[in-house]
Amino acid sequence: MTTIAEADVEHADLAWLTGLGWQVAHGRIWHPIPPAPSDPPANEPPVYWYGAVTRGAIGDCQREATMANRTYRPGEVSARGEAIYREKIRHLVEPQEHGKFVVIDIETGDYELDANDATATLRLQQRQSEAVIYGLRVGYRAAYSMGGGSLTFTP
Amino acid sequence: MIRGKVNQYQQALITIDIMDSADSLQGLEVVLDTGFTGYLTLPPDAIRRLGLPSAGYRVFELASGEPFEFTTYLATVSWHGRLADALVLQSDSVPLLGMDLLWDSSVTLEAWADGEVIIEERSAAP
Repeated sequence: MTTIAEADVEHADLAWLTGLGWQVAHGRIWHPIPPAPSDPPANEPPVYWYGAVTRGAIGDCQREATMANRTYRPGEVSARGEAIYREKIRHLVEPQEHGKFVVIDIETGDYELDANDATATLRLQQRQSEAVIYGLRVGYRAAYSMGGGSLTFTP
Repeated sequence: MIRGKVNQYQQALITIDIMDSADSLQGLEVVLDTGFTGYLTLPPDAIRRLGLPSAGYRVFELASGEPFEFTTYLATVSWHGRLADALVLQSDSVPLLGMDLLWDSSVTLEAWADGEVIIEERSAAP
């Protein structure tokens, strides 16, 4: 697994990070780990590296530094989010909040509820700046649909 | 009023202004997609260029009924003359604008090559 030490990141600039294929952004980011000889074979699911982003100043420019701290496999965040929802949140919001969005920090279990997904996400991030977020729609199997797929209700 | 064009590939296109990490609005051409219930999809290079912050993961239901997990980001867009927060789904497809942004708008399009696309805010009820 390829990792970047926090100390390296503190002294990095944006070009160095983006040159490595890292996404640099305000807030939290998800991105694939660059391939390394020790990585698992290609037929295994890729590992995603979670990095919390902090902002610092270089001269007049804003920049972000990445502090790597957790890894999640694809599907792991949504699986943990769904489990937290089923066990801790569902009985508090169904059926009266049907159609609203719940965004959950899967590491703390903290969550926000709002009719607007972006609003709920921003509110949770204000409280949990390191949140690893999974969002769902109350009463539906998926938060959104694509390609004309119908949104199915949760049984 | 937002104006766009229908192209020869039968796509209704508009340009939407999205705020980048330097707080400047950047125009991006997007395809109107009424089969997409979210706000926007953007490819990874556009998300990187704009410096959008992460919004975690969401599950989308595809036309086949299959659920699919996508990475999402937060963006501020200019819509009907105001700034609005929008959830952006990372996708390699052409950028799409979905029903969440179109909601409470009137959409008129001339379904022929070079036809006009007009999006107007729904007028308040009398």
